[in-house]
Amino acid sequence: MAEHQAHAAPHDAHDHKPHGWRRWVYATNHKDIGTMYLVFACTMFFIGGAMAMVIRLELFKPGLQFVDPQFFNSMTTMHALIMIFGAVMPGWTGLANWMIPMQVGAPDMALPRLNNFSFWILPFAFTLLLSSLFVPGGAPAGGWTMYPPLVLQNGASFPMLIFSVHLMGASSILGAINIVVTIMNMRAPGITLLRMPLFVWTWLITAYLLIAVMPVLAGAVTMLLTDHFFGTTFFTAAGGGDPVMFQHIFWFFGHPEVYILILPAFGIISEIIPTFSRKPLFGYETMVYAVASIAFLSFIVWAHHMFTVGMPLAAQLFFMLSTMLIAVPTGVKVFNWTATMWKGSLSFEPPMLFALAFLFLFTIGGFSGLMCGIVPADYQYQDTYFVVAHFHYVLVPGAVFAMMAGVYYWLPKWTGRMYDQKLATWHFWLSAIFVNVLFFPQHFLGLAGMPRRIPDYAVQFTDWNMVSSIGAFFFGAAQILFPIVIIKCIRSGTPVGNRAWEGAHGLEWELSSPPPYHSWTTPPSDAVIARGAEH
Amino acid sequence: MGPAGAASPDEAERQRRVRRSAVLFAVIAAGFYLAFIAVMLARAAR
Repeated sequence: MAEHQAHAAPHDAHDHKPHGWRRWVYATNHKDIGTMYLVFACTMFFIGGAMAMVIRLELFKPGLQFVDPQFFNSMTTMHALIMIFGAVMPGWTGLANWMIPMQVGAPDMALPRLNNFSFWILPFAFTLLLSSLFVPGGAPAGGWTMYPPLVLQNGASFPMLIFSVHLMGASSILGAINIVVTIMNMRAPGITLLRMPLFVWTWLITAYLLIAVMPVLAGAVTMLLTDHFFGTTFFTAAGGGDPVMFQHIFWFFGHPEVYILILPAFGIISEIIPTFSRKPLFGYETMVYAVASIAFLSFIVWAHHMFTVGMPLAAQLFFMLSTMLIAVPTGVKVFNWTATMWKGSLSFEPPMLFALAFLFLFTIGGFSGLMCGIVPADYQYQDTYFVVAHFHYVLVPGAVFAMMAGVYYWLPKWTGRMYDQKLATWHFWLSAIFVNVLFFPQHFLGLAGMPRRIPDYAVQFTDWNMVSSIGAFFFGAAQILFPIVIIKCIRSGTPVGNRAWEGAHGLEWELSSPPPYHSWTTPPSDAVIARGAEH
Repeated sequence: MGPAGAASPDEAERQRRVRRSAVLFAVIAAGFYLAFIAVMLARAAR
């Protein structure tokens, strides 16, 4: 204890931070930029969530009640773009900014000014995207996948969509470069690759995925842009182009993107379960190899998103079997998390509750994913609500719950205060119950044949749609508790020590709570690393 | 890491490594971007 207090003391003596708006606009401190990313992600989560409420309100009963079909399609498109690129990805980057330097014993990110630039691109990108709601023809309505020729029929919003996607891509690529360079060059002496926390490992692999696939998306949308404005026919059949080729390029980006959204969640769960089981993580190295295997496989499964476009049988078999292979490393991870808890001294604080819900519910999403990966079955599921149920199980109780688990885990470290655990537990139970009320019936709707992306439906789908919408309203309302818990914690939480959770291990817990504005300006000693870097 | 003051040899070497790897990854990203467009152009020209 004395050692890290001694370490923190000199920092506190020169813990100058800039004040006022300059602190944020000119921010180069990883903690400030991390905070901005997280606030931005939370804002986008509520904006995208409000759009989801419009969708579920319209689908509460058959017929057109509240919005016209064009606006409904805009809502589904914008909801997806905002949640994926505005909420989940920046949320992970915010956590990466806060935690990676502290976990590897680095004073900051390797490229602090680039870090500032990466963040500040985002508000412009999303202002551009959101302002397309007010242009003639309305916001993009062709789906987040931007398939031609449909997307080319968008009105004035089309170039706004393309430019905003470019900006989001640029932000992600620059952020990813920063993270890779930080992890590879800024680790304190003694923090070898296989002594890094799993969150750092998963982010390292995620960053490589980002560098490989975001330019592919940028290339694809650039080609859409030239098709629309400059007379090229990359994806226009009339000019010798091929619209299906867009789908191949899009999903070459899109499937690794799925893992970009979920791999950092694996890292967080791998931090939380050992802490609240009071045991080291079972199979640390196999976890690293499993994440790397998943990342590799993510590049060779893309066409399982488009089995029904018509492709050779050999291609269908290849993509089906490669998809099945992903179950192996994923199974290893679920096994290891379960084995970590086995005979552990478990306690159920809010981060652990969210982590456990992740474990059960993400696995359900994984299983329905396997079902979708089976070619003949997918002919039944394609473009139905079954697919909607599948990816929402992966992304909401998967990625979003893991992010909330991460925030509840590290919030005492960031603020130096413990939050109202009772209120956070209410947040958990309401979320965990209503996320299932919201999404589980969508499996039934999909299996019964209800298509996705429609504002109206046949009457036989009414009952489960009503249940799903009620779940959505309560789930949405429950999320208001999340910022309340955080604000209450910042204002009046009870002070905590360096190690806010009894079973926590990792270098970040060797720093004071809250950590000094400039942490690890001198690298941690071997003793501190040995104590902190236990898995 | 800050802009003020002369960096030690170790620090200067680290800054060089940071710059080198950042440029490398930027080139890889730009390569992917251009390669996909080039592949499509080649395909369209067939």
